[in-house]
Amino acid sequence: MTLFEHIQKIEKEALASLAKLKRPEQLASWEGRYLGRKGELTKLLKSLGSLSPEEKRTSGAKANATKLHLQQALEKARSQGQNSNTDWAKEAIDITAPGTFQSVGHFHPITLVEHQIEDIFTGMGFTVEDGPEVASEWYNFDSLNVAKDHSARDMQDTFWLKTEETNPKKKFLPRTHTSSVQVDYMEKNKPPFRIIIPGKIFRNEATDASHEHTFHMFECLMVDEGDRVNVGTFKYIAETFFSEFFEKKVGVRLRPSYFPFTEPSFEFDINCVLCDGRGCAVCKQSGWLEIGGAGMVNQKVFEAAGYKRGQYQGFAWGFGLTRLVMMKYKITDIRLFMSGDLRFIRQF
Amino acid sequence: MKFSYHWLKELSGTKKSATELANLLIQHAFEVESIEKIESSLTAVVIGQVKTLRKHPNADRLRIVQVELGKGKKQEIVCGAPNVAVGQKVAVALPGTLLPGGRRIEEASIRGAVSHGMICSAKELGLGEDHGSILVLPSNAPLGVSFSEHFELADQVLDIKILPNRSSDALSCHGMAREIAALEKRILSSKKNSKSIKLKKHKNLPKIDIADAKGCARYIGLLFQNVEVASSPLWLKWKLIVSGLKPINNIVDITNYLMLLTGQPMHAFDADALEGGIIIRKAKPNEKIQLLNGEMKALTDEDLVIADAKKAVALAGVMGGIQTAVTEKTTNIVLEIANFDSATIRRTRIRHNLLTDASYRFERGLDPNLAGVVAPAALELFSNIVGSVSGGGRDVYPKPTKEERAVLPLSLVAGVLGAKLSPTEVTRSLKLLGFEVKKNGQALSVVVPTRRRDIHDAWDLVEEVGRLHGFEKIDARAPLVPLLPLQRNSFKAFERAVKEYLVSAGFDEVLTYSFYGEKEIKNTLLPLDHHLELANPLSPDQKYLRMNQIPLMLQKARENLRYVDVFDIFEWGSAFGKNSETGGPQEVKSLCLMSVLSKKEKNPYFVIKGKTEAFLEALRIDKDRITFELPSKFPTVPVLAMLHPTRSAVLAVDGEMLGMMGEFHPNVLQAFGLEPRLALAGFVCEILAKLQEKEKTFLPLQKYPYATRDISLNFPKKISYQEIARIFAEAGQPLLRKFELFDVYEHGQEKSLAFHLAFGLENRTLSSREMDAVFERIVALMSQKLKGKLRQSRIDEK
Repeated sequence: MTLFEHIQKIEKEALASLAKLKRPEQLASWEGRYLGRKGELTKLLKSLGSLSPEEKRTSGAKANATKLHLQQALEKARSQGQNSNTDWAKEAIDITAPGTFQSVGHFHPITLVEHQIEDIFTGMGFTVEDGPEVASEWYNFDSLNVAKDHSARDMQDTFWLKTEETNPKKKFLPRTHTSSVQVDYMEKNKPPFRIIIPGKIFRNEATDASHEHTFHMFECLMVDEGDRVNVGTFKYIAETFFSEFFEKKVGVRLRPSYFPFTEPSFEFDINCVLCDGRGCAVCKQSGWLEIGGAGMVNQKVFEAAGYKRGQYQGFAWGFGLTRLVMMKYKITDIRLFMSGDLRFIRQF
Repeated sequence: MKFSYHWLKELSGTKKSATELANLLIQHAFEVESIEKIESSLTAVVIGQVKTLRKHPNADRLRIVQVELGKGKKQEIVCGAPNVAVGQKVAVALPGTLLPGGRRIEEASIRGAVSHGMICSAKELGLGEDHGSILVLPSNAPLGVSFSEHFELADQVLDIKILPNRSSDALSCHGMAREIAALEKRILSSKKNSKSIKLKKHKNLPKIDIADAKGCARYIGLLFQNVEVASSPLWLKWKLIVSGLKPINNIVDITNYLMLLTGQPMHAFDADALEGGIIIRKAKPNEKIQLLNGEMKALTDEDLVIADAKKAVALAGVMGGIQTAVTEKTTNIVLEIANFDSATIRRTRIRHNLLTDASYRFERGLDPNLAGVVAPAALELFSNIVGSVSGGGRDVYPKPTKEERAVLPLSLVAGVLGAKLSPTEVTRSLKLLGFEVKKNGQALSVVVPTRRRDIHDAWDLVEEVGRLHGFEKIDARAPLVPLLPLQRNSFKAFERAVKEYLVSAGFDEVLTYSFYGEKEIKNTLLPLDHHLELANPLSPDQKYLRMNQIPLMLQKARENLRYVDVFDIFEWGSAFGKNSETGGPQEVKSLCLMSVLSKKEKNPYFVIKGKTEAFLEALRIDKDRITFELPSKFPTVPVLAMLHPTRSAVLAVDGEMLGMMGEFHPNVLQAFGLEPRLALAGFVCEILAKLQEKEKTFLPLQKYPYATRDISLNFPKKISYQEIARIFAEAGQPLLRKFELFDVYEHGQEKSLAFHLAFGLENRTLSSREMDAVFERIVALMSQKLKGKLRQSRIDEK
């Protein structure tokens, strides 16, 4: 048997025995026997010195290649788990079964959208403000140019707190709009300012799938000196906001309206976001969705806040947060918002 | 208000279709809420003429009528109406015609005579109540032509929303026509509202005395004699029907028609029921009046009434009294065309809950000069339709309303709108709307017609100019404002951080109503008298403003248990109470956490406490300042009654309560039908936010190893962990770095607590002698102050 054949034989033997091994200590002794310092291959390589240059070249190359081959086979055997005592099949689990329950909470959809709106406005330099939900008659009505005996009071169905008091500053009501925060804020802060006021409001009307006595709205107020803030500014802020919110270009249409606390006053519509203004069932084929009311702050409101008539100019804008949430998630029953039903909340 | 398209077209001269008109109005003036098509069902009814009459052979009260239907076509119809006469033009329903109300006319044999259709009464045509006699048409009605086509009965009704500011000039067909013309850049020639009119005097005309000048600016009384109360002509009836009113009789119909046309409400009195002159005054104490609707009203001295010498005869501007009402027997009428104070009428309307077409208009405010235009129109209509004799009239108008003047700087137009409009356009717009305009340098001097009670100053005029121009034409433009750092409202930021943490910690956010009823208050053992109460709740169970969210959250927990077994919910929201000093409302933001735990849970208290502690840590609340006290220490706080007396705690800072937590009183759970596996934590958010640590200072990391030692102590059962912890903190100074409870074991009247202790110094390793000294001090103080006995200790060097 030539040396070459001898090497071949060792290789064949080694691979055959490796395949039968299971435990790590068996692999270690196999390694010692074939690849170790006193192993069979090493011994053969050591004996190469006594051979002819021709034999040295062929057998030497073969011996080195075989050593490499056996080393690779050993690594493969180890990585394939032949080095473990474990019965892997017995250990097996159904990896497609659900994970251990880890409870995750959910924001109310109103909060979710409120945060989204806040982020868009704070990005434009607006501060998020807050105000009391029970407001004085003065802040909710009189200071906003809605006098006690004016029929504009009938535009909002109002709850009143039981009281003998007649002074509008001491007579209170669950606010009918977040505009009740306007004059209170203006008394404490001087323009320029940009604020948004999200919040809960109350209307004395019976509840059904599309009417609630309690819902959420948003107020946006931007006031500055001179004529820096005008109707064109409002249109810009409104278009920018809705385009960000719906993640597409949204146009705004202003129509004349009347609110005692703004002048000029507008109703404003946006391009129907479902049909992109082409006309569909949701927008009643008009291509427009009625979203809210707005206008330039009436100078009488500034006067109520102690500002000089004509010194400042700004816009006020209010819209139904609840309505926007209903549009966004296609919610058809407004009563779900106050239901506290986790089957509803956990969808968001 | 409902407007007939035909009527608006006739008055305004517009050539636009109803839809085009609606679009024009929406963009420049008013919201058109709907356009309703009135499809007349009378297209198949034709106009005929009675040619001959003969008696029915078998019935005394019936006659056989031959009618001509044009182009020589004739038909025989059986008719029972007593007023049928040869030569009359009549409405004929031929066989196959479907009448309003669903009645189909067929050829029929009536007592042996064949009738080829029916001659219709007003009621059968849906045009009134009269059904005893047939409707006689004007003699110029063309034969054979469709009834509804000739009388233009097919119409479209525009429901236009007139907001309170424009009621004085636009809540009428005249006003709307004027507006339409202006939007089409035309000015209608019409009579201006008038300060003075000429009226004949008559001896029978009652004297008019305005005793309350504030309540009544103007009172015109017109006398009509020899009046015959009858049914109105067809055109008048139809105008009322289309506008949503019911025809009643010629007198009432004329007043309603004029109100729709001009916006001026009026009232007719039976002149013979008036005793003496007319006085406009406040009601007297204990005065009463029975109104036209039959209701008896007790009046107050704030109600304005129309009275004669003896009694109140009408609640001014709201409703007339029954004693002086016009009846079928009335022959003389006093017609009132007056102007009443809007606030007075509004208060009376609210006080007596009487919303009428008149009160609706008066409480929005009307131009006193309008009465001056309406009076001549009323004289003409009464003469033409009622055929009555005018007995003249009186016009009492002590202080005629004058036109207001305003100055409009042209720069304000551009400044407010953010769009440059030419002076010519501004001037033209105002003129189209009926303002008198003079250019005065860079400003316009404007005279405001008295009907525009909403226009007083330059800003009011800018709005007018803007809407005529079209707000939709104004370009969006980014503002040129200084770039300023964002001001943050730290409390709103805190709110958001709280919600974000709780959601990540597995809490679902709920929102509940701010109102509840007596039942919820009782069930949660809350004090009723601490609640704010609504004067006008939707229902008794929504009568009180919540003191906190807990009652409704318990209700929601109960409802959710039908679908989910274990859950955590929270709500951040306003809670209300009475301010102890002012008695007025007090409002705070309240945060409530509620956990519904597994049935196996024995100590819900510790679960919610763990959640609370993690929450405080996450929000960087200074926990060291918060103590957990027994509720019994706060006997004056009524909300604590809902808690389990010995398994709950008050969270306090320097003795001030900032929240509460723990398990519920069993009675509360029972009232809501809940099992004892609920726990709650509630906080006053304003106090909590103040405890947020604003700044942190870095502490160097411990370089030298801690020496740890375990200690186990026996205490009497009543000693609290908090007391023990205080001794550790006090006696351990400054070497004790940490102490951690790891075991509690109760036996008889004693309990045993085991702690891991860690000692250390910052600059060197601690000697065992030093540690022993501290340890001895701890043991000594535990024994001295809390009767604690050392069970064992174990040294464990690390």
